[in-house]
Order: sequence, then structure tokens, then C-alpha cells
Amino acid sequence: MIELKGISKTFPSQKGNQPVKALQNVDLHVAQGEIFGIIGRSGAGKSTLLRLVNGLETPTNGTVRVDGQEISQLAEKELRYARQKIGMIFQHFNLLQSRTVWKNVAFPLEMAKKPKETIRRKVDALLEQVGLSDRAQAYPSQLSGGQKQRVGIARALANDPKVLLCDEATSALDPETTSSILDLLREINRETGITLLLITHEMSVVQAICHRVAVMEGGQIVERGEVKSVFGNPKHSVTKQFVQQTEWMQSSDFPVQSTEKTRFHCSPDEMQDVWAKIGPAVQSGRVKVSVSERELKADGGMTFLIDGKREDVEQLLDSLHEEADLEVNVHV
Amino acid sequence: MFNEIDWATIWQATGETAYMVGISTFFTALFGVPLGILLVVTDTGQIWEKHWVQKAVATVVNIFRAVPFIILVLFLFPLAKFLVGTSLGPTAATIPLIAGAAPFYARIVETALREVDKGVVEAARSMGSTRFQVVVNVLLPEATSALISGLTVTCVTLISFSAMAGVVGGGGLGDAAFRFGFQSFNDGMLVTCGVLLVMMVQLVQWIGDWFSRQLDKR
Repeated sequence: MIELKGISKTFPSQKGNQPVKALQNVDLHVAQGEIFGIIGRSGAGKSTLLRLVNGLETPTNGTVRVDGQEISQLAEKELRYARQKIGMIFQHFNLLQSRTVWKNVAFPLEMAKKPKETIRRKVDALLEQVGLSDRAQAYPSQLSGGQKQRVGIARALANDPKVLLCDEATSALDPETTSSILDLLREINRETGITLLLITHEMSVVQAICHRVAVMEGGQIVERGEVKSVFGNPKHSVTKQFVQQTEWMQSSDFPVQSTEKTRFHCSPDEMQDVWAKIGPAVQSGRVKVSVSERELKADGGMTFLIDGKREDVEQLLDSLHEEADLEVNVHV
Repeated sequence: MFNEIDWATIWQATGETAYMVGISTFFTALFGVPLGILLVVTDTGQIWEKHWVQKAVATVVNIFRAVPFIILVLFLFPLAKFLVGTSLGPTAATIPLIAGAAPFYARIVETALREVDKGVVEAARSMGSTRFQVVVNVLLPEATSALISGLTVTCVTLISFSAMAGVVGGGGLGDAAFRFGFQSFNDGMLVTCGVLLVMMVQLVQWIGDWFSRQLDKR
């Protein structure tokens, strides 16, 4: 359904900066009806990759095919028709603030110049499907994050697309809402056979709904395959980090000593060094480090929670401060 | 001091001012909105990137905004004769008023449209909207509240501009205040005209705020 061949994307230099090589020689094949996940840290190129699929970005080299059509070769008018068959949902929902829920879902149908009666039936059915019929006349500002994403999903499905692109669709949601949105996406995939391509920095999302996964780093796909085999036997260092991250999150049976808990945040640049220091400390069993999903920041950085005896925690913090020369922002 | 007020003249002048401001506000919006749209959509990274259009529109807008209004009035009254057949009276005054206010409003429109969330524009594009559809169905509706409050500011500016245009032959409250108040040593006329102008500004502001609030769904 989606086929990317030899894709490179270089953004021209701006204001004296070097040109950015966002993607380098990427191949990707997503089968019809599949839920395919692309996981990577921020800046890995996954967002650019996703935008190539519906032509919001054009590749510098290579070809993008969706349902047999070569997206990068389409004339503007054809591209618009092709886009109607490629739905997209967003991290920040991107709903029109000036339109009600109902009118938001009607938007893509109006743009496709569908008859009024068709629009009315379709919108009612979609709102029913995402469980928001009773909120039809509300404005987006009156909805919760989860409800907003449901509107986003209904809107993306309005023109019966064959592909649904999910751009960090659950990253702005809390864990419970995330799982309800993922359930909805899985259900839609099962019922309609729509192909899902999603990008995320949360491994739990990939584990929850994806059939296959590709791990991205530095504009390249460094590992790919069935979700179980990739995460069960991670080969690349980035994949290993994602796996470790979830293992820590899952082992929550460690006795909580709330008075000794220490939080710190690190940016994406510091991540590599932080992992290197935290790993051994955790393996020694003296401290427990967890990453709350709520604390995963949009900048790609993370907030860690260190738990353990005071001297052990301090020792770890000291090693982070001095040996790795990190400016970790500690707050209790 | 108020016993020498010629109310007939006052009401006629009030009518002229309302007429000048009304007509010129309408045309200011009519020209200002498209100009503002052009300033935004033709800029780098926007939906219709055309640098030469951007530069051309920006230059024209800046020139008209840089010329002091009173100079604009003197320059454009002759043009008014050509366009509306007379260089005197309230109708003629609308020409420099529009020329002065439309570029001003264009910049306000530009700012309002730039405030619209880029993600929403991207979403609309991803659904297969044309550029025109993005402008009409996304940019303008999402910015309506800001466009209205900007038009209110512009209208208030037009009221004060109209008083200036009045003095050089446009008529209206500015003209009445100058001729029948200031030059005739009639303080009552002067003050009454001033008070009426203030009341007009208040009324416009009040109506504008009300509409802007009604349309703000954020």
C-alpha cells in the first residue's frame, strides 16, 4: 500500500546553517491493512518520512508510492484527490477552533464538494463511531485531549481513506486516554482494513497496536521487522534504549520511598550519557530509575525518577553531574 | 456658552462623518483583507510562496503608511475628482481615507492571519484542500475575531482621520468644529463636535468588542 524507495531528503541551508540531511536512502514497504510503527527519538527524521507519504514534503531523491500512485509525480489537482484518500491525525489535533465538532468532521467532505445530504449522514455516522455524538455541537476548546483526538480521527476518516497517518497521535495524552485512542485505532483497522502508518517516540504505543516496526536514527532506518522480534532481540543501540526504557517502567514493584524520590530532566543531547550512567546503577539493584510516560517531553528529553536509599541516589546524581559532566536539572 | 449651538448644522455634520467613516470602513475592509492575505500567503514557507508579489505588496503598503495622512489628503483630493467626480465634500474625502486606512488594516490582517495555527493549515492541506479553500475556510474563519477587533481599531482611526479630512473640504464634524467652532469663537460648537466624535468612537468600540467576543471560540 505504501512503498518508499531510495528516499533522501535534504533541507536547504537557512541563515548560514549547514543543509540538513533529514532522510538518507530510506526504503519502506507497508502492506495493505497493516499497522506499521516508526519509532525514533526527536530529530530522527520520522516526521519528515510521514509527510512524504501524503506529499506535504517532497523527496530530494527516491520515489513514494501509495496505492500504486507515485505521489511525488502527481500534478497538484491529482495530489489533492490522492490526499483525500490518505487521512492524517496529529499530536496537537489541529482542529479548527472556529468550528463545532460536527463542522470539523464535515470539513474534509465540504472541501471534496460532497452533497449536503451525504455530508450529514457521513458526519453523524463518524461521530457515532468515535463515541462523540452527544458532543456534536461543542467547540474544540470545550473538549478534553482524548475527545479532541477522537474528532481528529473522525475527520481523518471522512473521505474513506485507504491509509491513515498518525503523527505522534497520542504523545499529548495521558496513559489512560492513550490506550483508549489506541483501542479505537485498532478497532478501525480491524473493521475497515485501513492501513495505519504511525510515528511515535513511545515504545508502549508500538507494542500496543503495531504489527511491524522500523526504528529510525539519524535519518535512516536502523532496524525493522515484527514488533516482537525487534524488541525481543534488539540489535541497534537506539532500539536497546527503547527496550530498557520500558523495562524500567514496567518493574514498578520496587518499594516506593516517596521521601527519597528525586526527579531530573535531561535533554535529547544528554540522553546518551545519561543512559550510560543509569544503566549500571540500575543493574546493581541499588536504585530504581523510572521514566513516567507523562514526563516524556515534546523536546525528546525525559524526566527520570530515581528511587532508593539517599546515599545511593546521591551517588548516582554525583556521577551524572561530575563524571558525565551533565547539567541535569534536579528537582525533588 | 451652549445657547448659540446650531443643532441643524451639528446633525448634518454628524451625518456626514458617519457617512464618510461608514463608506471608508467598508472599502478599507474590502481592500485591506485581500492585501493582508497576499502579504501572508506569498511569504516564505506559506501556501503560495511568491517573493516578488510579497515584496511588491509590502512596498506599496509601506509607502502609503509612511506618508502622513494630511499629506495624503492633499495629494488625493485631485484623484477624488477623477474617481467620484468631485474634490469637495464627504464623498471626495473617502478616497484619501481609504488610501490611508486600507494599508494600515492590511498589516493588521497580516498579523491576525499569521496567528492562525500552522498545524491547522497543514491539516487542511493534508485533507486535499486547495489554497483558496485554505484561505476561505481556515485562515479567515480562524482569525475572524482578530479581524473584527482590528477593524474596530481601524474604524476608530478613520473617525479621527475624517475630522482631519473634514477641515480640508470634506465636511463632517471636524469641519464644523473648525469653521463654526474655532473660527467663529463659538466654544459651544467646538465642544459639542468634540463630544460627538468621542461618543462615536465609544459606540464603534463597543459594537466591535461585542462582535469580536461573540466570534471568539478559543
